[in-house]
Amino acid sequence: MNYQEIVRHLCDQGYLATLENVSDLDCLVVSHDFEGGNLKLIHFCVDEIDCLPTFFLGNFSQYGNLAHVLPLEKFDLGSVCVGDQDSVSVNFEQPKLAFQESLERHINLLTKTILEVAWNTEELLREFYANWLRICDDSSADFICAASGDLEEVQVFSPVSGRKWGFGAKYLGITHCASSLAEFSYIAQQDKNRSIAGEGFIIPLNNLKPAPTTSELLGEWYLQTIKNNYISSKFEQKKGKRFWLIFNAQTPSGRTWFGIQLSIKGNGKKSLPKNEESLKNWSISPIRVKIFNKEKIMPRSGANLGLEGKSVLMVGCGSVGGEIVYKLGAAGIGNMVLCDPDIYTMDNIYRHVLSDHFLGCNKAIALSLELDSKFPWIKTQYEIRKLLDLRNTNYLNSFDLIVIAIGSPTHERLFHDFLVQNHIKTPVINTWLEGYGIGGHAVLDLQNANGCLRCAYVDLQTGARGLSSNLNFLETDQNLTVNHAGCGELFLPYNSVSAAQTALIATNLAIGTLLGKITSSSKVSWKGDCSDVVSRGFSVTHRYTAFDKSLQILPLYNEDCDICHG
Amino acid sequence: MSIQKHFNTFHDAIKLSKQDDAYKTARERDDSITNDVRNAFKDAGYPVIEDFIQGSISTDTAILKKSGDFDIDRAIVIDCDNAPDNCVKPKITLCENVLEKRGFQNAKIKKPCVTADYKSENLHIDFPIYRKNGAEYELAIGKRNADESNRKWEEADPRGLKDWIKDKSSYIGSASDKLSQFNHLVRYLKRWRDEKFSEGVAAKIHSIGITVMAKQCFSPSFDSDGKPDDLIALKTTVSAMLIHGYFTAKANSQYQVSAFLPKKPWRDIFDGSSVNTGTQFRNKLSTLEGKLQDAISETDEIEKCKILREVFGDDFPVPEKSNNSASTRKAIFSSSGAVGTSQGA
Ligand SMILES: [Zn+2]
Ligand SMILES: [Zn+2]
Repeated sequence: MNYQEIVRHLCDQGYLATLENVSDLDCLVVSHDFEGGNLKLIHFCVDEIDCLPTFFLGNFSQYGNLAHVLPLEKFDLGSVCVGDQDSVSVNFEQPKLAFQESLERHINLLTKTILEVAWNTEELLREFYANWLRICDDSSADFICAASGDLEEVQVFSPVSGRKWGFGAKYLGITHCASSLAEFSYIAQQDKNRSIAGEGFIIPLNNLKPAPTTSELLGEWYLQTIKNNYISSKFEQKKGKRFWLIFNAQTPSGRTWFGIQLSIKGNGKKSLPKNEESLKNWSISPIRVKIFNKEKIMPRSGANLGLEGKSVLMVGCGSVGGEIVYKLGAAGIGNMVLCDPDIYTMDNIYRHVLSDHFLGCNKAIALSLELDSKFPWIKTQYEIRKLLDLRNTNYLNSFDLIVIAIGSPTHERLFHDFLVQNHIKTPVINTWLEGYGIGGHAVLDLQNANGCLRCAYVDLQTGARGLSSNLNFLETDQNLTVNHAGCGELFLPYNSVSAAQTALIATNLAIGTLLGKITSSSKVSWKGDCSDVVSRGFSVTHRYTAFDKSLQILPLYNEDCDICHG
Repeated sequence: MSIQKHFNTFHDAIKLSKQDDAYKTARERDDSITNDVRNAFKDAGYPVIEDFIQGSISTDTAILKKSGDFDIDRAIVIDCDNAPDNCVKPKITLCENVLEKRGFQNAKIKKPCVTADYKSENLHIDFPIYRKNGAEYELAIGKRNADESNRKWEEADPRGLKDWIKDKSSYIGSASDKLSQFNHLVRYLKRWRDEKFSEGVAAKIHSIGITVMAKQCFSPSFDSDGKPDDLIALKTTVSAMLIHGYFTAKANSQYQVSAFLPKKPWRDIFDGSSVNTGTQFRNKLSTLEGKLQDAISETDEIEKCKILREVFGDDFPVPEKSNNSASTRKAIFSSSGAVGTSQGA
């Protein structure tokens, strides 16, 4: 790194930049005058820039509590957060420009935090949670809490001893009110083998002070906080050896949860310390709190709360169906009935989402168990039945959506006949893939809308009802299956990527339908590479050759479909 | 309903194929005569070494004639070593020892073949006679009393011609669908000819001529889903036929038509045809092009069909009510018992 050149460049830009030696380290120091005083910015020289060049704020203590500036332990330096996320792409080929850009960002941010006091305070509250995490001990276990946030007692359980990850490795806090929340049963299940870790209170704060910058300042922060906020006298009088105080407060970035733990020094029980004197009998430490409720977790992890009340019947839990239910679960679907008569076998392992400890288990049961343990708020049921066994009007009408992934054109068309004859109103998605990675398809049949499954089966050459879908990329009557062990062991070669890709287009249609964003019968295909197909001498359809609308949602309606004109 | 479906209905109405019942009776007659030919030729010292169907039935481009007549082209092949130098001799054998014996009053020796009509069956059979030397065929050319200068064993390639018409190797992707569209187009053009020309002129616009021109000018058309669009394919093919060089302008807006066989003997299919034939052919083909364009531009289904009926005659369907009417549509079921699909999950 040529620092001479960088200094020259910065000086050319009007900065007062010099190369110095601070605490035996080579530094680039920039001195900047502004209306409120002077900023001293120190950059410790590096060999390579792999992020925006970092400057520390010198004489940090003289500025008080600044948002986006954190103390560097043991030095009077502040580390400045100029928004250097991973997504910032830095010009490492022109280091001097990267330095200039970074310097400007530092100066703009620092002058703003110093000069605009109200903004500074708001920012301090906005980043409260991040600042709180900074003073927490990395090695201590997280505190998972199921609570509504009102002032109430909380029962605290220790982590399961020896556990390094998962829920078992964390403290759990459950309040009385939480037992009425849907998540309670899930979190309560985690309770086994835990001992009680002490008493605690959930305390909502109306008057939040910015987070302490160091753990030494925590005591002072605590005393001011309990002085300025309401805590019921019942809690204040309670005596104990260890208290968990779980706070929640509104900040500019939403409701924030955090906490402290108080442990008495020596023996005996005491009530909560209320002044400096009584606090001396206690050791105080900050804790990380993760609130466990769906309003917080589902949107944060990408799920949609609007799908929680929806109920989906998934028919076929093979490679494609398995992927679909995982994705529907992740999207936040609240209720799913999984349906498949098949057993999970060794032949499936490399293209199925299930893990091998389910070998020999019915696929619907296995998936139901997996979904229940993966998604806290999902309700699943299973049916060990085939598609054609589900022909019951009331049953089918009770769902918001039916997804069929069985790869059986005969059964799918028979089932569709039943839907038409009985005026079933539930939307239906049929999805399938083709062999050798050539592609996959999904068809959405919205009852009472133009276009139906049979539109996807109109024989394009004759206009008659076809037996094979006109969406297919491979010609019919080719011997595509591979026979591994005689009759009944034929299978179509495809891999898990094809299954996942197909599940994606089907899930996308499903979510769009359930959210009311897709209002007409539609079809979607993804087109894969044909080299495998060609090298085996198979032929592709005209549609494959012409197709350039992968992943696009297209109208399903075919003007020659007699059912749409019946 | 899509216009393609109406074309399919039209095609079903005009096509003649080996599987048709009407053709089966004809084929039985033909088989029985061919058997007699084998015996007669054996007795004459030049046994039949092979026989095969040639012509449109063998290339899936045959249509039902409006008159209800059927044509069969039955090639009779004898070995070159046994064949008499006088190529008319076997034709006389066929005519006198077979056809006349069976009571055909109108058996005739024409220049390229012997013909016979089954009046009661509306059946017309042509027998071209070839001699075969290795893989090479030579056709017996000459009328009954032709002298040496008017008769010869002429090089021919009947199987090569058939293969050329059925060839799909140059079609990239969905070759079978494209060949099938080509077959449709040839049938439409033949029906158009029968509909739009007087019997005498129609007879001079030979089917093989239409087939060769259409093959050389064929421009397939499918939508992005792979659904055939015969209307557009026919229009672009006809346009190409008009500018391909088959029609040579003569004085007074007259035209001479010529098209060469793509195989031996490479002769002009329209050799000896009049400017009247060429002019009518050229002008009516040009009118056809215009009408097809009108049909393409027309958006109303019924109006489209009416234009096409004007071109192709009453076998082209015109629906009573258009698409959007509440009329229910009859389901057409697949003609296959089952097909293997690529579908899995
Ligand atoms: Zn920040
Ligand atoms: Zn339909």
